[in-house]
Amino acid sequence: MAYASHIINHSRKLRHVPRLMRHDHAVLVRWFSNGAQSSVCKREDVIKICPIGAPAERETVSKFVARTPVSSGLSKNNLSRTVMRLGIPMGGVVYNRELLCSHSQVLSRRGFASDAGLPPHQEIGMPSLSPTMTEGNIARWLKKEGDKVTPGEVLCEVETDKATVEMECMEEGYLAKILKGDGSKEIKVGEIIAITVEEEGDIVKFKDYSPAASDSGAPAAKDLAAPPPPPKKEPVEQPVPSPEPKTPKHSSSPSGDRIFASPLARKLAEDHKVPLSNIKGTGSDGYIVKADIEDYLASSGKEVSAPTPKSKDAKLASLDYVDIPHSQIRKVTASRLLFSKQTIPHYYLTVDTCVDKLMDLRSQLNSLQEASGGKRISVNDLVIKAAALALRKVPQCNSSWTDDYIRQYNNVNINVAVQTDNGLYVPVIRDADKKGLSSIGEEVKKLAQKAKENSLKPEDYEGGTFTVSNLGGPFGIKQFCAIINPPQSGILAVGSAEKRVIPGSGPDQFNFGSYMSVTLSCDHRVIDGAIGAEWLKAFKGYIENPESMLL
Amino acid sequence: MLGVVRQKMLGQSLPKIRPVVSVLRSYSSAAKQMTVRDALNSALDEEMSADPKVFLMGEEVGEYQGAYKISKGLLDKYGPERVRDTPITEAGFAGIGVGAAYYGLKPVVEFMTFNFSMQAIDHIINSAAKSNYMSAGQMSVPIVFRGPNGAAAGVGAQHSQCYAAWYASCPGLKVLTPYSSEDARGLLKAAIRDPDPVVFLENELLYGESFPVSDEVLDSSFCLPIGKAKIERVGRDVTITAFSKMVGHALKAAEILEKDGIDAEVINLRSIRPLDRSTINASVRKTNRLITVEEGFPQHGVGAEICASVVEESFAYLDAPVERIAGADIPMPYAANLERMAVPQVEDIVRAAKRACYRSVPLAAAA
Repeated sequence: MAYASHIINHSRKLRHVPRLMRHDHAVLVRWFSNGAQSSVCKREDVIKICPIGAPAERETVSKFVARTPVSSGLSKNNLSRTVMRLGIPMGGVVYNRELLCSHSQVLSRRGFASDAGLPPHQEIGMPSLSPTMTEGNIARWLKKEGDKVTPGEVLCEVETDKATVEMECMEEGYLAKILKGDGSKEIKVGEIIAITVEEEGDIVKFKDYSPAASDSGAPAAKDLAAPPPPPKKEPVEQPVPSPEPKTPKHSSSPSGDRIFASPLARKLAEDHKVPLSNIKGTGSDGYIVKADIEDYLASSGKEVSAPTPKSKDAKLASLDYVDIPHSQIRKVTASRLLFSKQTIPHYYLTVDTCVDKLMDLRSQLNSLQEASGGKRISVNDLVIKAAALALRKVPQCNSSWTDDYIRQYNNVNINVAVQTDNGLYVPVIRDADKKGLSSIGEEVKKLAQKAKENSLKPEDYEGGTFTVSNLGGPFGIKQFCAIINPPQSGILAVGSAEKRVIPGSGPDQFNFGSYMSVTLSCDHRVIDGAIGAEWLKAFKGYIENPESMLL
Repeated sequence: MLGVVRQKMLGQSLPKIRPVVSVLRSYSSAAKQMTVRDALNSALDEEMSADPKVFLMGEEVGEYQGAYKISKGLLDKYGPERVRDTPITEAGFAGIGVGAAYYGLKPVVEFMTFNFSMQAIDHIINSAAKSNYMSAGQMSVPIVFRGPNGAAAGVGAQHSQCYAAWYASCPGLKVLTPYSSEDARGLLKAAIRDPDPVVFLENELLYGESFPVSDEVLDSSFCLPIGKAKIERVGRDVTITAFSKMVGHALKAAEILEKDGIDAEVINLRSIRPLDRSTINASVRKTNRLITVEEGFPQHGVGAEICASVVEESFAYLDAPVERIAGADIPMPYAANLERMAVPQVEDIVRAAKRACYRSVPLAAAA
């Protein structure tokens, strides 16, 4: 009742609406519930008139406020209708714009038309059936276009991956247009699925309606269909440091981002001179908490004093050991490789490649390099080049598995495994198929040096599509099977070259040859055996006939 | 009518000594149980017998023995001059009470619920709270306004509001919120003895609850200091502050949390104004995490003040954002299921504590 009298009082004041609009904006705003959004009228060129006393009130005090339609095409007429009911003369277009500006804040949650020429209508958005729902499908429409709908009647069945729910109509009217028909899939919550109008005569006007223009109405309309959220008992969950708009980054990369650490953690870090950028936060939302600083101190402290704990071990009489705490790289390596082995179906293909020609070429190239002052080219550089070219020939091996598709990369970025004192690093050589051997060699050396100095940046090791791991040469491994680096789908494990005796042309003749064993580990989801074999054939071709790499 | 009968009774008998307290005293078992109702009754009784200036006034306090039977037996014992039934006019009898206090009497004014105190709030704030200041200390107003506060069971929006935050924001008032029988006895005695206006916020649902009381509590000179909180449960991981009924919820939540490895410290505020900031801050400095629990509305509530106090004084000791748990920001629903959802439950406190103590398992960085 108070609402009604307030409106009447207000209407008397409306003589001075322009002044009112500027001063009493707050009063009008108060009428609308917290969810009011200014989403509907955003475009400058559209003139809209908000009925005095605005749409949301229609629900409560429809008797008192004219149910004035909102549309630009009929603007002047509407205005005069409004005027007549409230008995107040109003100005022209300019005035309307003023109204628009101050009212834009409080426009209803319902999607009123923003297009010129369309009669007033409601846009029905995809409802949110659960707090976690982000999209759904329309199973079927129970009402056709042109049907009369009343509150409580079921309009359509909405499917989520959990359940199929009937969506009821909230308002009386006629279903003017169905935008997403039966079987429409993956409609985001809030996307407009239909239009209803109040007047039956307006239905025809929506025959060719396209939702493109009124996307801004969608977020507003969403609130309409969603059930009112249950009253929140804990309104403030993260008051001071992390409101929603400022999503704190979870990733450990500290590059220029704000570091989110609790006050206690900051104080502790300052006291102990711990750089916060090195620490990964484990508090909620990725905050660094006191325990993270303590862990860091414990680990770095222990690394320094690793030899000393022997004295403590005397307690345990039976075993003599030293506990080496995990360094960051050890943790990362462990978890990634565990994940890889657990989730990727590995299989291994091995070939022996004759590297005589390769060695000859190498010595030739190196003599040229020495003469010109370039760096020496290693066997590994040649292997990388051969692998890159093979990947160009068999691009299926240059792919990644995802649940929805296999991503085949057009760039050949090869990760090279480098062992340092700190741990195993895999820096990346980008576009290895396009680079020359000397530039590959140079890059490998540079990256290996950076790895040894622990100064690799993320861009130095991210973005690889294939890995080459070489345990031949100084390491002396004959053959081994490597573990694929996710999300890649293959890794080449290179062993050492050894001189072998091979049968010659005649029955009792033999030859010598150097053979190098390489094993390709493949992800069977992406690379089938035959494809892997094809790749190895290509690779072997390049290694055994290195001049073919020039082609 | 009834008044005539009362006159006769006065003439006939001196106040009978109702053995309310002595009955309890005759039990010789070690841990006595006392309901909050009996605690309040005994406190009123003892204070009224100790000081003849103390008198009780309110709706149904006399003949009806108290709307919640808090003042049972007091009319018979002390007579109608000291236990006065009033008409249904809070503004009226609160004003009379304040006037009596100006004169030097010590009234205890009962509101049937504190929602009705809104009718008399001008007297509480302007006549009582501010008088000492405005009279340069010449006028003291030793009045106690007491009654049930907050949500009961199914009494609807107009009878369920918590007034702790409202009154606690007023300088000149003292606001007390007992939880157990010990709190009720000690704080009510302290309130009656206090020379300044005290708002004593009880809780209807706690009246019938029993708590163990020691002999010290039962002693007639027992008194609790105003402005000191009590640490009901000592803990290490998270501090939970609560008052009135919510202390019970917080203690239950602490038991549940213990099973999950979180050791919660529960503080029973007892006094909302003055707030025991030193106890709260010391506790937060120890545990580094704070959850405030209250039944009232969240905005500008007791939890907001506690959070501000902690942020002002112990910011560097906070390891997680302060969590406020309060009633829903809506007028209390009438439907029982909705009412349950509008008031903090034990699960809410448990969830908030887990959020405050949250640590994720360290994830590998993308390489």
